[in-house]
Amino acid sequence: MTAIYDRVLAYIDDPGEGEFSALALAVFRHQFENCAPYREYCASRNRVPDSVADWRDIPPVPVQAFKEVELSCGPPQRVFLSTGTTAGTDRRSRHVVPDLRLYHRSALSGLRRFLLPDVDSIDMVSLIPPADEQPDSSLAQMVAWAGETMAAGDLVYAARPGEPVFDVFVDTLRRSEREGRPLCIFTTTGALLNFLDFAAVRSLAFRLPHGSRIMDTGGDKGAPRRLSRKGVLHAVWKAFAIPGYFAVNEYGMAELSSQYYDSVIRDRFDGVHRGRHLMSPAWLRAVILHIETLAPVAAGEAGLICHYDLANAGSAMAVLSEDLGILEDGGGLRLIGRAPRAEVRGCSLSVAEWPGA
Amino acid sequence: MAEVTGAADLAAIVDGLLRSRERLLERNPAEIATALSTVVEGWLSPGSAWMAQAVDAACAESGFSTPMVRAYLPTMIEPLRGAALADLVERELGGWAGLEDFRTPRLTLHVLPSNLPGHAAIPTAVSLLSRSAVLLKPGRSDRAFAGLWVDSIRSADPEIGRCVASCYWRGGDRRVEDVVLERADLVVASGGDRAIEDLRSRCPGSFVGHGHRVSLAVVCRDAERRAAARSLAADVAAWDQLGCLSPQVCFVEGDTGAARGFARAVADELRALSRRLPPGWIGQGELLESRRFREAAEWKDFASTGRHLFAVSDVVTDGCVVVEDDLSFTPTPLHRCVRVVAVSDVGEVAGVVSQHGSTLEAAGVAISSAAFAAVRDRLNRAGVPHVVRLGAMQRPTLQWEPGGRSRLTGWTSES
Repeated sequence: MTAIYDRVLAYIDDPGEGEFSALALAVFRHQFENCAPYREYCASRNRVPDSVADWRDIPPVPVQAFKEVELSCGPPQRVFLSTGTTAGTDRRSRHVVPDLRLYHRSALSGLRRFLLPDVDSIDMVSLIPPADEQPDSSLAQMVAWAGETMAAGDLVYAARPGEPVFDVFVDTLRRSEREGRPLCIFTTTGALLNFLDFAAVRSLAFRLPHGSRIMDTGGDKGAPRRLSRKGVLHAVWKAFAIPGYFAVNEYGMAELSSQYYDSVIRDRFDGVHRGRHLMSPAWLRAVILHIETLAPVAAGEAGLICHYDLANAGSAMAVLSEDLGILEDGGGLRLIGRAPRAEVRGCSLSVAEWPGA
Repeated sequence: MAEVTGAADLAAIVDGLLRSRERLLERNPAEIATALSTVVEGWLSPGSAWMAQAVDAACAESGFSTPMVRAYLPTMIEPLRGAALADLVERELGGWAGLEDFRTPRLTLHVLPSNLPGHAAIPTAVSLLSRSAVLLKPGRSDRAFAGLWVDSIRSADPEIGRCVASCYWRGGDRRVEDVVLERADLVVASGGDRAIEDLRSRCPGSFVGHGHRVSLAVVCRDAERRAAARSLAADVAAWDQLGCLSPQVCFVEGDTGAARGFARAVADELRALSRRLPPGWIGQGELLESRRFREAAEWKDFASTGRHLFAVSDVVTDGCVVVEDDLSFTPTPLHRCVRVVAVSDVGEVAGVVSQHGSTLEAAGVAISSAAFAAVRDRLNRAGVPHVVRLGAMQRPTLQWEPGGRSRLTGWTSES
């Protein structure tokens, strides 16, 4: 069973042209044969390995499915849960991971490629709590692995579950300023905005050394207010003196093992001049589907983002999200945001408004 | 219908309504009822130009399919037919003389919901009957009906017609809204809980709020299942389940197998109705909510032996029936989505729904004639204000008291 995982790991290590399609079809066959609910689902759609020749025709699993069943091709090594703060009637998604090597390799390769292509190691601080205190958070695990493999010293945690520890964060920022050692900040967007408010009230500002960078993720979840991406970049410059080309937004989901990142650091490293957009590693691709028909949309049109993540070989490679996006020329992804919530038209109370739903 | 652009426009309309009301006070309520009855017959007579215009406008404004509007817009007026208003006065006040002692609001503002067309008819008639001037603020997608309804009253009886006006402004536009909130003796408003509370907090006069409600169905052991399935499907499909009388959860006496058999029959009936009464427009968020509802049940099916999902078709908006594993009472995303729950008896239903008393609106019951009254009383005690036969939920009479509040005395007693 691990042969297919080894093939994916080899692809992550050295993505070759033209391999994605063949590998995706092999992963599909593996998942069809080893995950009974997915097999039933594919059969109900009349899409089975022998009849699917294009990876785009592999049936995607809606994120709702992760809340209902265990989509796993083997016994779990880890189970990651979604934060449960997204819209809808919701229990939390359970992403069962039978081979943790896939997530480990994918997450670190993505970070290396898009956040740290220009340095071997760097000082790190995290406003995301430690993984051992949040064992069901895939994000916390990714940050912990980054600390183990790419931090110049010990990764400093300036957060406990549900509770940032801003004095530790401030001390770390001041030390970076004082010692002239670039710092990499990991944070959720919500925690970042909370800190920016905290700093503004206290007139705190920092001049971090050149090469410092920040990775934020998670959208509005836990944020005290909404702020546009431009607003975030401006605030990050004012608060930390980190320029926009070192500020990276990460887009990921608990149901995936790979992530999209703003291209800015990578583009600078490659000497490419273009606007900011989300890029994925070679083993993660997106297809945009019409929100009503779920058919692929024309290039440049908005729709639901459907992810094909080879690093999800042990669970469900094809995942239909509830996020809206546009695929741009050159393969970049423009994230529009969450699909709209139900606007209740009726005087009939719907589940969208039911207490606890 | 006036599209209000400023506070001065609305103030002038309110002034006019209050002046006209002086003449209304000189009219006999029975005479007003007769005049309104004429208006109602004008709408419901075959080939009615009023109804034809309203159907066209409602199809364009509301997004419901044309067959749906044709079939159900008349049900918004039919409760006023014949002696219905006189019967209402008799029931609530003991006869016309009761209206003489009545503390009637000088001006009533009706803030109408936007979910279905035709909401203006009954509130207007009841308020005019009590000799209150009426200002209608229709929902965004029900503006044309309110305007036509006012025009038809003016056409039939100009003196009464001058006491009612329909004006649209964006809900929550305080610059305009406060003008009428300050001058209305009574505000009757339907809408979401937040909007209701906002309006309530700004009303110096009396306020009656109708928040969002949920309805249910009960199929008793002795009911003929195929007929009950047909009745439930009809009540669900009407107005694409967006009305507060639309059942969302159906409790079926019997085991899970019986619930599954019933769910399959309801899906079959909804399939037939989807051709006769095609679903209308659906927003993206609502569509996703419906899809989530269907997917949750479908994936349960892939992971277990019992069947949960009975889809009407592959098209999400055609709806689906989902059999629940546990005794629960949770609404659906509407748009023809129904939960079916197996229960041992009506007592179990009463137990589970009574925890949601303030949000309950109606129940439709399929049962033999002899036992209906006992089940109705049991559900009334559990907090369901309106209990009728399954299949009749969407064709209410004036005896239906929305939110369990009397139509005449429920409004005026707070004045």
